[in-house]
Amino acid sequence: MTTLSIKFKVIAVIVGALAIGGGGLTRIVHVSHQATVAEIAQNSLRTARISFSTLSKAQERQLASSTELLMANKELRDAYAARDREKLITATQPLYDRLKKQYGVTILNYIDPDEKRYVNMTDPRDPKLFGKKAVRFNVQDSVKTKTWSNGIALGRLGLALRATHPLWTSGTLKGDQLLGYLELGSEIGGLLDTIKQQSHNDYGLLALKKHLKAEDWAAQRAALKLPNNWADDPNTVLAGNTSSNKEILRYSGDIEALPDDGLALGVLDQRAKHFARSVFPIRDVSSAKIGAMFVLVDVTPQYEQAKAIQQKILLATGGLMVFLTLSLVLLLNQLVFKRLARITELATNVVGGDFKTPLQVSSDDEIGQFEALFEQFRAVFVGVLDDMERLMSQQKPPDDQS
Amino acid sequence: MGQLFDLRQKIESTIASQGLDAVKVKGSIGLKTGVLLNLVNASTPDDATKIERLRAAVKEVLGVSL
Repeated sequence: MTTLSIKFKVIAVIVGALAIGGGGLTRIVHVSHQATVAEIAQNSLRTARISFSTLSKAQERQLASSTELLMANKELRDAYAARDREKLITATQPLYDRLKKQYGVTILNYIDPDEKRYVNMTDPRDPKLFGKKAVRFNVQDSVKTKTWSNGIALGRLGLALRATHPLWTSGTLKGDQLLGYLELGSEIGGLLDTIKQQSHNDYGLLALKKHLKAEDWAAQRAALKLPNNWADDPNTVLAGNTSSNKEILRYSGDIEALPDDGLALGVLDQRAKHFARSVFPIRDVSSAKIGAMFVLVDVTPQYEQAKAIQQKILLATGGLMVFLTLSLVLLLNQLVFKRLARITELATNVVGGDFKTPLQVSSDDEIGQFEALFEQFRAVFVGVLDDMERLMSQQKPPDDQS
Repeated sequence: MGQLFDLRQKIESTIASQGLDAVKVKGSIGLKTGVLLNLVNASTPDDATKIERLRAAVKEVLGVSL
């Protein structure tokens, strides 16, 4: 049977205990790090949601006040009332240019009472845009309620914040004779850059393809000199992205099933970088989910910090293993093994005939007590041997020379 | 009678010829065999088991066959 020395067993216990302890600490650091990353993702998600909502509301108010200013412009109302499209375009153009440059208003539409576009200032002289019905909830809502319908709406070209209001001959908010509807809007992609400037995170805007038309999307991308990304995903299309990396913003889940508070999507590792991803749905003016805002937080520093802590723990555990092993072996050698070896040597010498050398009790500890007991035993044994030798010498035959 | 004593004498002379510490070596052999060599004299009765054990211990401790 193989026997293991006490030294080996002690070292094995130390190494085992420290390995378990080190492993446990590493695991705790890992779990704590994951919790931190999850919290960062949740905070970023919440901040992005609040920022998006706040900025959207501010933009809506700006659109509404701009709409009111246009409604109050008699020259515009008269041109519209006279059904003089060219005059209306000419009168609107400098105002539209200023609104576009100063406030990012990219949409300015005059819509007839039957919901058909009369003038679309994005491309005012394109005859294909005349007389086409503006199929959007905000238009339908404003037609139905005869008041403001403001919020996000998916148009033929993508997601935009829109403010729509009836245009009365009086130029006031309430009137008797309806000229049509005035719709102002701005692409919400611009909000992403504003939020990024505040948070330094990256954002992607996904729109549900089922509310869009592939040919319209292709036309918009071409106009913006961007590659057509319609085929990138079966359900959604990336409408805006503050990151140069499209892949990290990809989402194949069901946007319409997303909870309003959003969802943390875990961590994406890419090119030695780590990103916490989350997404929240965007509702249009009718409260339908029409897209999603994708939030991307670079958590590489947190990962590196956790990794550094884990390495330090492993290093410290290894160092502690060596230190404790050496210390304990040294201590056991001094306190136990050397003294046991001395007792063994003395026992051997007694059996070998050295009856005179006593065992010095070195301490009052457990081994010292054993030394004292052994010395008492040795004295008894030596006494017995003396007696026996004396007895044998009395019985020794005359020819024995030893 | 006398074989055990002869063996004791041979052991002692081997220890002396090898210049070893007699007390330590005899103690080591004694502990291995349970035979106190100092108590073995010419009148000690022979015991085949003890002799065999002593020879095995000598072979192990001193490396010689007696």
